[in-house]
Amino acid sequence: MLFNSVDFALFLPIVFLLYWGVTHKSIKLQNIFIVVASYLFYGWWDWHFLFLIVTSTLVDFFVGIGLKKYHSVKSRKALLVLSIITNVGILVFFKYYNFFVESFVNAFSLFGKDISASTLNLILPVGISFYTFQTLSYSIDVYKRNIEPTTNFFAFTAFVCFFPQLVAGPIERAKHLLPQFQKKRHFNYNDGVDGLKQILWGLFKKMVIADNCGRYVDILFSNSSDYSSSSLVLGVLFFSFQIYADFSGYSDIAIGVAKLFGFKLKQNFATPYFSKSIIEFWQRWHISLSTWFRDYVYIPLGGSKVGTSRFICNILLVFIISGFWHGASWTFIFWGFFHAILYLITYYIMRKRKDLAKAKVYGFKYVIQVLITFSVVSFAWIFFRAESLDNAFVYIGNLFSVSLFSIPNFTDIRSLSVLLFFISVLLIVEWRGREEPYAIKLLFYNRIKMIRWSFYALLLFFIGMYANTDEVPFIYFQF
Amino acid sequence: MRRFIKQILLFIPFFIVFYCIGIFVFGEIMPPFLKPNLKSTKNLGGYTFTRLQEVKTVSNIDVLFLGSSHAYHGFDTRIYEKKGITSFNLGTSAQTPLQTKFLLSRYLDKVIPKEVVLQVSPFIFAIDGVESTVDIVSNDFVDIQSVALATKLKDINVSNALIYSSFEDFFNKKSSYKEKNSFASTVYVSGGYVESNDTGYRGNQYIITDFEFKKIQLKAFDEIITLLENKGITYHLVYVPITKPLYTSISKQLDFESLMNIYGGYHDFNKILSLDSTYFYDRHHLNQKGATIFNNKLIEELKLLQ
Repeated sequence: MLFNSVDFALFLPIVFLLYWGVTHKSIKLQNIFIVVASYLFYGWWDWHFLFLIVTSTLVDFFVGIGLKKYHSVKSRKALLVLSIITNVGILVFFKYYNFFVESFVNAFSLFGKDISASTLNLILPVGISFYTFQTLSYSIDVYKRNIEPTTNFFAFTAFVCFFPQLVAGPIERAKHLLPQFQKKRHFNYNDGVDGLKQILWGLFKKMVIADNCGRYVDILFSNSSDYSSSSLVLGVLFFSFQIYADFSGYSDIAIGVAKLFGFKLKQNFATPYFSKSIIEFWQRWHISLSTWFRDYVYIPLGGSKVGTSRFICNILLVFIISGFWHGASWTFIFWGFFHAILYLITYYIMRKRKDLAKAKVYGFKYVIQVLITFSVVSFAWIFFRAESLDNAFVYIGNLFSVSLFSIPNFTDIRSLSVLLFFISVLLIVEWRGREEPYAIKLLFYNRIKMIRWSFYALLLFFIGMYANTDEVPFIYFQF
Repeated sequence: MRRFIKQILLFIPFFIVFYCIGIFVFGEIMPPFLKPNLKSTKNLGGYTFTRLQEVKTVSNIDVLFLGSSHAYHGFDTRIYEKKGITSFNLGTSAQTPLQTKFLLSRYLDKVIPKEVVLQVSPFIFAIDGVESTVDIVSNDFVDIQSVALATKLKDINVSNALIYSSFEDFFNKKSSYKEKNSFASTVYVSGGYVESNDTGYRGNQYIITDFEFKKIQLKAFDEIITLLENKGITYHLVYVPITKPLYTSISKQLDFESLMNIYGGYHDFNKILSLDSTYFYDRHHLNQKGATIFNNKLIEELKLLQ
């Protein structure tokens, strides 16, 4: 079920009313209800893959119990390995099997040896990378004794499959989210209103900005040779805003929906395009994934408290794995590698120039730094968006020509100006609300109700008038 | 919680009023590129407004034609008139079974035809019907049936068209409206037919198109047949000729044929006639030369009113 679908618009109020109206007297009943609603939400897409969530849930729940029961290092390690094999195994099989087979065959063909190996006709289950990482972090945290394992099965099951963040995060930690399933929830009016506002802003970003940018991006990336360099520059710009508005829009909706049910999820984006360096960008982009890799890969590898060569290896490894996490394709691996190089360059420049790491002063210098960071990040998105590495390099090749200074030739200027207007609105609103967890939290907060309501109604009107009317899935659903 | 629900219940009517006013203002003053989800279907060459005005004056005819642009470009009512058959063409752009059913429920008891010719093709079963619903809703009066049709489609374009059309009804703007002939090569002919005098179309090869027939359209089609059978009206299912490259590019032709044969009275004029590209004005539609041959053959083949 998509957040931007009519089905979800009906599903949400029904579940909300039943949750607070019928099941509110018992925590257990509320958790069971969340599990049922979440399985229904997921099964709406394809119920066949529910068994994967159930498997992941059962394994990690009992691994947690086992880790509490057994104290010997050997037994505890065995249980952790079981959790890792199950979760990573599910992920590798469904997401990476065909990639490995194809890469293996291609590698042999490079040396003149043709081998035959068949790929499987596998469907990638939605959200698989998200919930496997979430449950895996639970087992690792219990193993490291960072948290106590839960014996509350329904609380744990609800934690794994909680529908607002099941398919595309934010990837929550048990330490933060699980206790919320174990205590009584009370409806809070301010949180409810806050949740609705955040959902509205998320929908606006997704339906008005991301989906409309996506129309042009699809055209330009499918055949870059047909278009002028100026058009391709706009293609990169639009993809930068598409992916940001799409994913941060999804996160806003997820966090907003969770608030309606009395839960607080982690902030996943903090206006990343206003970052003045790549290092800062990664502290503000997909925060729940970045911190996951930091805590479960980078720090166990030694982090920055190792020698220079080891540190460089750690950064390269984390970024390449992070790229690979996004998809089974060389484009994502290269995208991760490219960011690792950018990160390392920035890291060493910042070590020499301490002023770059200082607190922000919003002046000309800041604007230049932000523009450079945005340009570099946008350039890297080409690898993320392209169908293959060849296509990415062709796109880059076509990007630099004399037609860079011509009028874009992929659509009429009037339609383009509408989209650029909305991107400007996004930037202005996000800039104003950059210190808040989401951009419109305090916008018109102190104004009379009529003004606030008119603003919300205007956002809804823009959705009705400018949204791409196809129900376009969120980009991160495929990861 | 009560306060929360109360505020939402207060916001909903506020929003509805805000939205409706917005639609009206945008509909009236904004150029098309600033209102992408409020599409105007007037003056687009389908003449739906003129046709739907004219159908209100028609009753007790021999044959009623329904279908998509293949129908209003295909069934020339003048040819039938010459043979003493009274008819009306109620085809509208991209009409699918959903809209055919809607138009029948609205006009069948008024028009009272002896026979109905339904233009069919795999295309009409494979699309959602948004384009056609927007077309009909924008060009005809709004009532509870239109709202029901819009609800079925769950599309914002349809809802916006419905709201704007309601305003047009309310301010009586449709009564003074005159549809212009915006396409030089097409002319609306009284009786619902749209004549095209283009000299021919240079047909190309097309990529094989695989259609998925939509359940909602199959169900609506089934209901149309039941309705006609219940009323004792003879029906014919007619596949109007399209260009050969387009016809051969449709992969599900056999599936479609089997589906139509279940209902009976099916005639594929792509097989009965062999028309080259000089009989078409684009890859989908017959020109006048093609329509004349097709209609004469249709009368002969279907033995209408016999």
